[in-house]
Amino acid sequence: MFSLIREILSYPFLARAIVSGVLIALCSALLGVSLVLKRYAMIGDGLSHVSFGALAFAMAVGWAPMTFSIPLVLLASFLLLRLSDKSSIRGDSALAMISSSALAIGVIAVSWGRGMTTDVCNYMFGTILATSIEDVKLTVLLSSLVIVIFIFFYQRLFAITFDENFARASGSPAGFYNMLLAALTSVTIVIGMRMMGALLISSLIIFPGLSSMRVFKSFKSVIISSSIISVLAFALGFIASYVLKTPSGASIVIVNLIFFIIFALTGKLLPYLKSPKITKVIMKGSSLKILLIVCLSSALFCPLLSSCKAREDSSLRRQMEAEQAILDQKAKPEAEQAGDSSGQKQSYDELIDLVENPTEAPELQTFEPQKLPEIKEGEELFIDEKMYLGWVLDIYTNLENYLGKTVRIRGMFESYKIWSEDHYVVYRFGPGCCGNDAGMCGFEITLPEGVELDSNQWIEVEGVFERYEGPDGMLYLRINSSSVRPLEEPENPYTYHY
Amino acid sequence: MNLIECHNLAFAYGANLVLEDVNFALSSGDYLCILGENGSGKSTLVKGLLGLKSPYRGKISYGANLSAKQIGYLPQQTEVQRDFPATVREIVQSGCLNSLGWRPFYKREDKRRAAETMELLGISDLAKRSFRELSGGQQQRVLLARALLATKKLLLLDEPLAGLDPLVANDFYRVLAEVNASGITIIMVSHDVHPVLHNARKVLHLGSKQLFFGSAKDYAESPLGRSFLGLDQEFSNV
Repeated sequence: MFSLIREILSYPFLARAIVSGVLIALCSALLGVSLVLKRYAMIGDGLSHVSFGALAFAMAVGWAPMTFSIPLVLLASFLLLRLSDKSSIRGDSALAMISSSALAIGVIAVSWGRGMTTDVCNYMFGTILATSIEDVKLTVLLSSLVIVIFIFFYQRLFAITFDENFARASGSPAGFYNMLLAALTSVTIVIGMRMMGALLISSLIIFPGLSSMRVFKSFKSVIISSSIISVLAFALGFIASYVLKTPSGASIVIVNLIFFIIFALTGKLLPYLKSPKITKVIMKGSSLKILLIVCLSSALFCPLLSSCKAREDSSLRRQMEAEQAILDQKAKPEAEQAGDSSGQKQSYDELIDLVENPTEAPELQTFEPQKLPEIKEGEELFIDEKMYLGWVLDIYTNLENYLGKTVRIRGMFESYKIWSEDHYVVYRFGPGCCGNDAGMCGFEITLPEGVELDSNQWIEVEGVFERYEGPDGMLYLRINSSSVRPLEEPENPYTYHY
Repeated sequence: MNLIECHNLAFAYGANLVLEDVNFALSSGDYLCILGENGSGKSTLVKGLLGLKSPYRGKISYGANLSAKQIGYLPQQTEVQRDFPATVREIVQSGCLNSLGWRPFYKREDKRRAAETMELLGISDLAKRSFRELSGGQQQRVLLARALLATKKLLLLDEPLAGLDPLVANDFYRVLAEVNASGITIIMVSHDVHPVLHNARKVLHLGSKQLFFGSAKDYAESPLGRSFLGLDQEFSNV
């Protein structure tokens, strides 16, 4: 488990995603309790749609997405508050109206700006990838601000959440606090959208509070418990998404759902365990609650995590096996290889079989784990099967961090005639947006003297990232290759590992 | 010096006038009971007095020393509160909201006041209990404690005893009488006529407009008061 966490943290873009993710999870948990109790939960959902519309529009027009959408979403949140307070149209219908209109505007904006469909898709379902360092800084700044303001206004927010009329009657500016709550929610939603997506962000707000309310009875304990659940659910969902190659936003929601089930069960079980005998002899109520939650959590998560781990291990071994088989194949003389190909295949199947039943083949346990890709000063970056898309997206997004770094990358070769000169690329097919399943994703390269390659030949390129100016005056990124060597086609040429 | 004066007060929802011709004045230390049937404008008047609803016409003037920050309010129970995760102590403490000033958390002095008030109302042993687990009578005591912390001058109660059994209600009136004796003005909206008349000194009877305002004694002798009381007796005999 710890080695897995260390491995995740070794990717700079994943480490950044974790920092902003934890902060966003914390913000949404804190605000979520009040929103759920004030029956404002759907406002969060409406705001996420407005936020999507604003982001899509900003991208289509070419404005900075965050700086444009935050004020707009703030405005929308005040409007939604007013609508739910007093309006001739009922609050929920008004909300549905605004959400779908914002979504429609967003979709139309997307259809204008054709080139950025992947980005818009990301805002819909969330991605941890391709966040610029500036975005992360803004996220850290804004979410810390939300947390500090929440703590400062904690007592007041409690008062208006519990009984707005009383707070108002005794002279508190309840309207202002409502607006503050809406404003903090807007900010959280806009910065959380990138990671969770418009369709999933509201669950981050609703779930932790709802789960905690199943078990805990004081406002303070509900707030603390939701913060812990939210951060834990984020971390577990994130690890699961890394291991199982599932989308991060959706994985986090599923973990939150599991937590909800655990808490609901605990809430149901507590009264039976709370007979005076047990509570006197064993422990007090609060520790009983926590013990029960921990028991249920471990009962549910442990098999889940171990199955994740098993799957990770077996896929890792299978991959190494495949590489080993290819190397073996190469080592043999060609004639022998031709005669033996069926035998080779059989033995490969046997190996797979052995991998899946490790008890029968203890010697397979001794495989070395895959070398961790790390990017340190003076070391080279190795881009292979794992996190291929993650690396490529991050390199394009945060270019300054990578210029001058040595890289080793595996993919297919292709050449193009552009500006009446030859240009070469190394690429892989990966998922694009909205049904486009074979987008090309990779880098331009230079070829060392005397190297000749066919189209679609698999290669390993080693070189340094550099920028050059094209004849059109634009700056382009390429890998200045020091070596290019041909490879066998891998087992799965298609990459979908985020 | 009057604490509250209402002059030709009227309230409307949209174009519907729900209450008009309200004229009364209260002085410090009074105990007013607002009576009337459902829809007679009682709760609307309370909202007006609290500043939650602005009058359609007319004027409410408060005595020189009374500001909104000195009014305690005990509302009708709302649906949201029934499953709210909050302990008794948290709720009572929120009555001190106005003394927070610019600090994020309560002072030791505020916590001591909260503890004293809970002691006064006999709910100290409930401090750590969850509000949603309490009986109706206990819940109303908690909300009364919160209202008391918020006020030193005026306490407004909107049907505080709806749905409570008579024994609990009697207890509640006893506490209110003590509070009133300590110099706090009380305005209470109620359906419940008899016990109110035992304690209240003034009565305001509403029926879309002001039907009666005067001392409780005069009210009991007036035709309106007699019929209201008489009806009530018939009901209780059934």
